[in-house]
Amino acid sequence: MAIKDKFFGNALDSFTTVSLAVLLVITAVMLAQHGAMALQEKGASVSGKELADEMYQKRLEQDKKIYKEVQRLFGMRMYTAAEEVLQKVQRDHPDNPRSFIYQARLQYNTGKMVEAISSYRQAVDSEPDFVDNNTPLFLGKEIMDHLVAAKTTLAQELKSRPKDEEVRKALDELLYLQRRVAGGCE
Amino acid sequence: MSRFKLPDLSIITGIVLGGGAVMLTLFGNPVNSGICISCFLENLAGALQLQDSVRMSYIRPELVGFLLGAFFMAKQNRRFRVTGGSSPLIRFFLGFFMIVGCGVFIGCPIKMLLRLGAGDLTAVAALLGMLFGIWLGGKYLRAGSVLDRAQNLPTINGYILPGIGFLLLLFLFLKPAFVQQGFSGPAAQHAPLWISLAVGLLIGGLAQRSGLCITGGIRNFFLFREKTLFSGVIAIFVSALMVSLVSGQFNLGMEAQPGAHHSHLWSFLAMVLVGLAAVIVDGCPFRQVIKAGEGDVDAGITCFGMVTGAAMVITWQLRSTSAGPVFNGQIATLLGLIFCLTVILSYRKARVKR
Repeated sequence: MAIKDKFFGNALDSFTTVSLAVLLVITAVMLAQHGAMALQEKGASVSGKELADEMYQKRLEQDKKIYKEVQRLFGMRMYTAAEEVLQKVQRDHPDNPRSFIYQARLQYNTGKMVEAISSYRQAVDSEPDFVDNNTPLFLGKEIMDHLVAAKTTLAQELKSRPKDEEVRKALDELLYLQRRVAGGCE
Repeated sequence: MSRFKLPDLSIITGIVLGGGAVMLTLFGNPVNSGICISCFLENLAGALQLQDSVRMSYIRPELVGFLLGAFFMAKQNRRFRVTGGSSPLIRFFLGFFMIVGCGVFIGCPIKMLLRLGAGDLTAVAALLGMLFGIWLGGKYLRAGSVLDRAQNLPTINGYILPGIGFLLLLFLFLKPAFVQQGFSGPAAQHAPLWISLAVGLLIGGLAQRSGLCITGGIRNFFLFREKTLFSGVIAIFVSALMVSLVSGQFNLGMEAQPGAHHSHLWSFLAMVLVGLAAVIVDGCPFRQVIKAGEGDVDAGITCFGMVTGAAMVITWQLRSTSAGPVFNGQIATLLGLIFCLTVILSYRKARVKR
């Protein structure tokens, strides 16, 4: 069958073909208009990248303020005092996951490896961006360094106390955290 | 002088697929999953808001490339044959359960090879599971459990999936408001659009020509000792291993492996499910996408099942995380195995009656 016959063979075919063409043109024009608008808004409808960057920036500044004192005391190795201030911050800002990071740092530095791992897990579970090197919140390197160091200690502890469930659980959590820091699909 | 002989096309496809996948991770794709059909489908489902994890939402250009590459190649070589009508609902659910299996292992058969190539030994249990699933599926095939025969359909049926591919491509460039894209997590880890699309188109075209399929290659080897596609599968692993070694991404061991877990039994069972379902449905998730591009409407239905599965894997938590498999995922894996065995049993009976 010739193309002309296929599309314009009788009145109904002609009507269908013309309708199809009109609909295609309208759709194309609408899509082009939408595309132009999206370009003007720099694709804000899709990625929200700029908004996200702004949000991260705000969060970093806010965290800097909130944890200023904890950070100062931590830097001076006044761990007990830092812990007290951190507890107050945690009461005032219960939704801020960075407190788990500070908690983990303090616990790690005072030799409480099992607790430190648990705190790191809480931090990562409540804020996955801590192990996402595409975001400014990324702390994966620090976490990994602590995990590598803690692993030796925990492995030794497990050797001396093979039935200690707490140490075993901490080692499992540590391996989980190492996989999270390594990245990949979630 | 002896003539220079090019290696078989499936080997070339395997080399491009394995090497290209690892190269994509260097350009920005998530580590160990430069190409992963199940992860990509989860991302696609998120982008279309079929699931609500923004961190897993992005229209992966590679996926669109596979579909359209296969379509163009099939059209170019007059291999665009529109067939379908074989057990559509069963195929839909087999597609669904294949992705559930992939979700519980964290990766499709291609990603399994990529993970092995990067030294991730947690994928060994999955490999054994998939080999067992394919071997078992092969046994059932020999015993006569085959889905209904497909028939020729009007050509328009074959254009629907490539049409969706074009639409997705349009979405990638126009970025309409209903398409969401995560700005952190795996969604934010992606190679530049043009590179991803080019690699996808190349692999899609080559895979259409060679018929490369992970499960199909292993199945043919088990059933007939036929090595053509199997060589392609080996080529994926070897090229991924080589590029991983050269690019410093190789990390041998079970610890600190990205996107992995240590529940080896569930990795094994999940990939038994993937292997078995893939044998029944005639092709791994990657092959289903390629076949959908070349006019196979049945594969298109399986793809719809896979997309639905990908959405539900996230929404209903039918998967694993780095901590291990979620309970829902374990149940879904078992249900998937039950479904596969029931289908096999009923089709065997149907054949015996005929």
